[in-house]
Amino acid sequence: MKDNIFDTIVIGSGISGGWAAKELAEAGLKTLVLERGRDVKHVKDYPTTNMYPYEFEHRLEVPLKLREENPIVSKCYAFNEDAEHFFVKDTEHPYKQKKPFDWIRGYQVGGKSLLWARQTQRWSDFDFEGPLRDGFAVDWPIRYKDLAPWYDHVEKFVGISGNRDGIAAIPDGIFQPAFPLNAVEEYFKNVLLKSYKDRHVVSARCAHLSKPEPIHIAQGRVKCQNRTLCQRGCPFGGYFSSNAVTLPWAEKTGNMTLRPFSVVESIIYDDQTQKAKGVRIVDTNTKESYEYYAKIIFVNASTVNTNLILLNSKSKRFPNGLGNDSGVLGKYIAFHNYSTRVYADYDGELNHYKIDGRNPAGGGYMPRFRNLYKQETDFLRGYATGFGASRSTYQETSSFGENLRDNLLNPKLGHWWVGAQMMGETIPKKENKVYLDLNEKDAWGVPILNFDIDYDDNDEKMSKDFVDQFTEMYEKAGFSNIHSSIDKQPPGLDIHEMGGVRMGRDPKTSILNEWNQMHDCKNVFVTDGACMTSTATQNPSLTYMAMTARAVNYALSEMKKGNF
Amino acid sequence: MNRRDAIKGLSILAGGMWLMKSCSLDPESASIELHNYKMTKKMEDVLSILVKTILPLKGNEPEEIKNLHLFVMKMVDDCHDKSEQQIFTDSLEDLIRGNWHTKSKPFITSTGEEKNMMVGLLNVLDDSNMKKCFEIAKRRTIQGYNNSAYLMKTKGTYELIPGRYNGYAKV
Repeated sequence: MKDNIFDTIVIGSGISGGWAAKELAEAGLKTLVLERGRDVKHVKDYPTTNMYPYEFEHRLEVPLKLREENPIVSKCYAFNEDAEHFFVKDTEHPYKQKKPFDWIRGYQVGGKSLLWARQTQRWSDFDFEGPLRDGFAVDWPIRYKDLAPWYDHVEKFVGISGNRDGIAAIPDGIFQPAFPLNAVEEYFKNVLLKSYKDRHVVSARCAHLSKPEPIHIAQGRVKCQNRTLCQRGCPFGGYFSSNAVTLPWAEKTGNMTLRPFSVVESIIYDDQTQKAKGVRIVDTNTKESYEYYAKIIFVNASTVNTNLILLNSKSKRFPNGLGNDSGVLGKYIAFHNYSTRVYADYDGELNHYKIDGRNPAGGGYMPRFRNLYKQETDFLRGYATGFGASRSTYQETSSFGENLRDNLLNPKLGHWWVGAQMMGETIPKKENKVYLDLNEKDAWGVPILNFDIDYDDNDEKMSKDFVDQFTEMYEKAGFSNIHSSIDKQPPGLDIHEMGGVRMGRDPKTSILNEWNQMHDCKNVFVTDGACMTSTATQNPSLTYMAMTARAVNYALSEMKKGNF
Repeated sequence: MNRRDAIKGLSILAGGMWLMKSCSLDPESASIELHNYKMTKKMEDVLSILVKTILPLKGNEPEEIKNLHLFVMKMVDDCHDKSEQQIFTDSLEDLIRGNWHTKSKPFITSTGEEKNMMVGLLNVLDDSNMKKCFEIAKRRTIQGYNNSAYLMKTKGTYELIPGRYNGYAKV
């Protein structure tokens, strides 16, 4: 095989690209994985993973200069001194904001799979049927039954902890033991069971190993050690990332070639064969261009970058971007509404309990209960909730001298408090879009992107409902000091932007078919967030992984039939 | 403040490498290199005494704790803006002169009792530049103390690898 000819190319090495690489390489296909950032090898390239807070120059605080130079990424909860090297800095890859959008990125091998919150829930048909039932976007071309076996497939390999809760909104999966709810989380769960029909608090399901299976040991991973320092990369492989799991597995086959420092400028379309024949890249170190060729291309560059690559892949056949006969490419971008939180205090008979150790699952999860079986409110769809109770120590610091020193050395136990984080489904709209700039290009000669994405009236009504509902639930639980915040933050900090290359039944209104395959360019597949027709409320990465494995399986069967 | 002790303590201060590179040999300036504001030796001396009055030593603490004022200086350098840095240094000058309150005296040469009295005043001062300076010094002193190897390793206040979670631990 010539150096630049492969069986398959995967653009992007993040959570879905890593899966494409693993499945394709395992199937015996010579697979080139292109990553725009630097390599990050598991353990070896986690420089901060074993550092104590006192070993950081600023004790985990981000210095002022870095914050001032990077006002956007500084908003991200995980952008601290221990993980800032895994985030793209604001000026590294500029973009234009027609409306404000906080675009959070990780450009290195593994991408944001190093940084994700590891929360995983399956979609149900309440989600897949959403657009059809409620009259927005287009009908999903698949249903839960199509993805269920692939959720099984990925969950076994990834290692997911959770309980079989028997809740229709979030189908049960293949689980290792859950990280249990604490005393006050369990209490709130029971209050809801007594007071409502369909409101549940479950142990948050997450991609952490609580009881590794032989496959995980074979991956070189061991039980999660409750460090909750995941964003640094984990030396135990206690959580799932491309770096710890899928990429080394693909590498082991001998069929994967990983090329970091490779910005994909475009996919090359061959007008003669009516197929994509390869990709054109710019090496970020030398700025030289190269072409690589393959029979099948998987685009997993992360939602917005996938849109960018496809929009920039123009040809005589596709003057508006690859596969864009419908004109929807770059449009119907959506996200999760994370703007709203409700907090309260607890003071009661559970005060004789406290927390010991750390919970990598983060606490509890409440699946969507609004408009689940039918439309019931003045807004469409609804929200899931990250719910947690906490009790930490505090130090009395108002004094000075020996008194202060003694207080610092003898912290007091604080009271229990609870917090609920809204994770709202947003409605994909044509007006929410990204598009190429006509004038400006980035450092690698690729047009920069314009973001024109905003909240709408539905999001505002949903936020208000979240505050109302949680206030009511907290009151029923006897919590006190109930207070809420609705941040006027731009979209983006959810880091769940999706769409632009949506799946659908009709090539006139969608880009991808039921197999994540381009309607009009059959050897190109998109399985990252760009493919999503709607957002549901679930943390999306598990669904991206399942879709990727399913799409690869289909691509392989088509390949066997000689269709590429 | 003994400069030799401060420099000797540099390598032991957590994040030691950066301080090793940045120690200053100019006898009139601060003992560590600061990039965004200037401190004189006198300012450093008064800060060191202030920090030790805010958080007195028992006597058996390591160099890291004895030189907490260096951490305060570093954090003011890297994590505070120009106006806060100006307020900080101007107020340290006022502390040296002792002219910031009707009851204040030059800080460095005051007795232990007088120093305690002045820090007591600072602790309850109304909002002013001097109060802002004191709050920065106190906050960063507490931060440095809480995030020290002394507390975390020796006193066991932080576990890198808990290996457990119990949401029903008995108080």
